[in-house]
Amino acid sequence: MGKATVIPFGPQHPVLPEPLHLDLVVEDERVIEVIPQIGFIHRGLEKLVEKRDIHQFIYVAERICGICSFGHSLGYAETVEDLMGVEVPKRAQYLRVIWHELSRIHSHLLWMGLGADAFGFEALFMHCWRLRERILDIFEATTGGRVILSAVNIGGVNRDIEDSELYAIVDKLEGIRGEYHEICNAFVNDYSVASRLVGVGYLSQEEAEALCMVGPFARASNVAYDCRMLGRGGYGDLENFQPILSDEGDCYARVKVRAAEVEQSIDIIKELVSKIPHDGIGEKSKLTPADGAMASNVLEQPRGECYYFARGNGTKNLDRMRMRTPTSQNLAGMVKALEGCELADVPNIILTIDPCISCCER
Amino acid sequence: MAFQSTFTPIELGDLLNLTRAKHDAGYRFAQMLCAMADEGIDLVYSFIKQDDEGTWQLENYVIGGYDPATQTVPSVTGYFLSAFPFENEAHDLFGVKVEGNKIDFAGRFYQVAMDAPMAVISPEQKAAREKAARIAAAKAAKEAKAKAAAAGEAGADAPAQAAAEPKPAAQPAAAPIDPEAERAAFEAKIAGVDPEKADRMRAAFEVKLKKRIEAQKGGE
Repeated sequence: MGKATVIPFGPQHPVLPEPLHLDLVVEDERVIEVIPQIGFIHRGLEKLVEKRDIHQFIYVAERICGICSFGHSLGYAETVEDLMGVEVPKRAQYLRVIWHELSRIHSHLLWMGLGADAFGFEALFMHCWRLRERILDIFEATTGGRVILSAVNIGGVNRDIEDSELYAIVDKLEGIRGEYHEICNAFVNDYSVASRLVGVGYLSQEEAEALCMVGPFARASNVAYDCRMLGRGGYGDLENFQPILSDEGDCYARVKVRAAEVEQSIDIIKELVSKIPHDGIGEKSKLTPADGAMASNVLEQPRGECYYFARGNGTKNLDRMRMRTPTSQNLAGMVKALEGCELADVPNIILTIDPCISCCER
Repeated sequence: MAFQSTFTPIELGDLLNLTRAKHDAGYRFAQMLCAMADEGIDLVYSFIKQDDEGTWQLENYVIGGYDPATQTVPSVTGYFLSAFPFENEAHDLFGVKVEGNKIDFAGRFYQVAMDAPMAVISPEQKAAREKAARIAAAKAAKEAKAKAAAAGEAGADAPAQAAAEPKPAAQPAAAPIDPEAERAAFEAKIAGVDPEKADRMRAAFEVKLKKRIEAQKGGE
């Protein structure tokens, strides 16, 4: 047994796209304790509800994160709609889900690229991001933006997508699906990928439940929880939604769960496009949240459950807005997954959790 | 499947018992948050679980009016380790004193330039709260006035009472101006108006009031 040494990991590290610091206590090459730290880029965006009214804050909410920007604007809008009792037309709900699932596809492809880069598969990284570009092209064609979409308002959506365009999107996604299978083949069947990920960063179902983990990180440990199954908004009209699960609990299982979720998202979009109603896209609500009224909501972001809380004060501004992001909830799981691993496996374990520090540091 | 979100007030002293009960009943800890209130800080703890009928229950428990100067919050990390980022956040951003956090950063979780930045009540928030209070006061005054008018009309319908009452003088003598009462009535009238516009209206009102008082004094 060697002497315990503390190795600082991050906040600047080649494998980390965002600043996260870990104090890794190692003995020889084995990590025995991990102390995480965030907070290097805290922006205080929640405090901005005092200066921006409920409609303006949508644009702040979607700037919390460049990857799940649409999800944050959607989660915020749904919470404020709950607060004021606003009804949203079905077509607007379907369009929101379609954009949100497209965001999930682009987020998972981005993550798969980063993961491939981390375990040294440069060509796979390029192919993942090439496919992701095609999703961003769909965003650009339907909203005018590639990252910040500004498509949601409180009461509906800002713009419609013609039915013909929706069918064209489905055709495009079917085209992407074929190429995606080839990429997945490399992820799931390649020996070098499996040798880096199988059995690494294992967490059992009991541990995942005890640590209250969320998202693909939890579902890879067989925790059957996905906010989409709560049936809110357009998700309520899906014929049969089942979360993608794996009972293997290691880094490889996390890759497989996310890989399958991309195809699941394509199926959801296809189903919703086939039965989208024509009852309008809603309009911006003119209501004001009542003094002391409170609402809370959960939404499945690409990284897992995101919790939203809003409290009104009788004016056009909210008294308090809170977003608890999935990465905050998964920090305890990350610490547990890292304990006992080899030092060389630390980057892969962190990446397969898909941490988003931007969301944490809202 | 359905989803339901509820808010239930609890006392600070009941927090650990509640958390233990939720832990034993298989709930998942969803989050903890702080919100500045008129007096102290409100703490909200959330737990989620699917009930026997298949409905997902998001249960939020609100501890109202926590006072950081005199009270300490027991940590729930003994039951749910995933609460450690939120308790550190509550300490660093709101100044909440948490006792027993299993991963306690002792104020170094967030690298912020000042202590408890979220606990500062900004001028915007203060103005919003004052505006909400004025709107509520104006609404109450309007309702009271309407009630009084309705009572007056009911009285006027009674012919015997009307006959008994003396007729008011055609030109009653001008009552002395009560500046405080006038100001109160004016404040109720401009409740809900944009603060900047309200300031300008208030200044104009003061000038007019002063002129009226001087005119009345001159007439005497």
